[in-house]
Amino acid sequence: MIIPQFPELEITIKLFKNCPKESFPPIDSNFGIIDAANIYSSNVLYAAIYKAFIESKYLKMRTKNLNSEVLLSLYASTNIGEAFRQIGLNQNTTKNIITISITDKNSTSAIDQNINGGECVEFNDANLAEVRDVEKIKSIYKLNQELANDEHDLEDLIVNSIQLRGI
Amino acid sequence: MDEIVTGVEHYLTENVPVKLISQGAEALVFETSVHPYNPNKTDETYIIKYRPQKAYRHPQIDKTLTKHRTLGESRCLAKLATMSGINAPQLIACDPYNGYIWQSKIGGLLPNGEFSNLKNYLWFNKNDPYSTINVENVLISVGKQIGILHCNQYVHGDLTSSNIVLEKSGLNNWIPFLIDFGLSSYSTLVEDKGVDLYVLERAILSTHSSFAENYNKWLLKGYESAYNEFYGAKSSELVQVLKKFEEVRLRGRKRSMIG
Ligand SMILES: Nc1ncnc2c1ncn2[C@@H]1O[C@H](COP(=O)(O)O)[C@@H](O)[C@H]1O
Repeated sequence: MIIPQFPELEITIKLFKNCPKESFPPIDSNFGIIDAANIYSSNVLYAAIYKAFIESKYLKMRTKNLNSEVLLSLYASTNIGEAFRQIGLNQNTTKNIITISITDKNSTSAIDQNINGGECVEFNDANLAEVRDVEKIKSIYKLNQELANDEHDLEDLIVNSIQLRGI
Repeated sequence: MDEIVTGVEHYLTENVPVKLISQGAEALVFETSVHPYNPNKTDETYIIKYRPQKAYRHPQIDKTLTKHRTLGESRCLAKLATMSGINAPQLIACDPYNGYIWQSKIGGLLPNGEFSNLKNYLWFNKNDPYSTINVENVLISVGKQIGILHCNQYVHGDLTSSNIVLEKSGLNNWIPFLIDFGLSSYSTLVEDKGVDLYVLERAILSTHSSFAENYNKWLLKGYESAYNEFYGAKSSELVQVLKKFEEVRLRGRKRSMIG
């Protein structure tokens, strides 16, 4: 897919289920790989990709590449290390992983993260709903309180905080 | 103006065709059917609000101001989304560096083909005696929206009957949404709330004078109901705002008598 405003960047998102731990890429190369439990919906991830592109193009790139910028956009603060620990892979990650590959059509550099093992399923809301951890997501975005007595759509609130984060 | 629109088209690229629907002193408002990032959302319309550069301001100051205002309005929309009972556009995307806000489009067309803001709705219904009950209900809900906003310590800052937009629900029912939070702010001051009420009252009086008295009565009825739900009946919060409202009104009248 592409983001309409950034047609030169081709994005591929993959969802791997039930990955054995040995299949994870080494920690230092996995910048930008996401623990699928943290993603509420496809719309939320798309919103973070959009935000990462805007921030990188019009403010500055804060990490090594666009993949990791997306990870940073998903997190509640600008603390990069924390963002990687919370949103990315860590010791607690067991099995479900999202990889994003972003290719600039005008250059040859592409980052493609492949997971050997696990089952690659379509990245969509139905599949995400099976692997996400709503309680953890609420705590990442500090939405517990606000939602206690409220009918508001969690997804909308997450998108809001992603769009307004770190600026 | 054409230059500004060309700049917007350049920024958005040819993948996002836009239609200019409004140009105010501070912002241009466009419509598009392209979602900024979700390829699965293909059947809705989105609003893009753009604050252009002002040639008369120093470029650096201009940039800072644009960022500040774009963020301010976006933060306000985000805050509204956490308030129980408030109807407002959903924030979809925000680029404070260039002055763009994407939000959901509110409203559609009235049976007469006009855009469904409160102003057009009141014009449309003014000759129809059977519509009274609907108009009353709509105005009560409008008042209630403003009341909820104020109970949450936010003021709108520019409450005109064009900044209240109706969404059709069912056959003959319209649900009010508040839009344009460009001048909105957090405020605990009864003065600010009184001014909000006064601005809306003036707007109703000047465009719909023959029924204004009833209209304003219904608005207040809704407003009070929000306070009653929030603070309980006969709250001192409500009494204070209404007292301030009366003061602001008196000041306004004196000012217009002096000329
Ligand atoms: N979210 C929205 N939905 C529908 N129309 C809008 C929206 N935001 C702005 N508009 C239109 O654009 C005009 C100017 O917007 P504003 O500059 O926000 O006052 C409004 O009077 C509306 O007609």
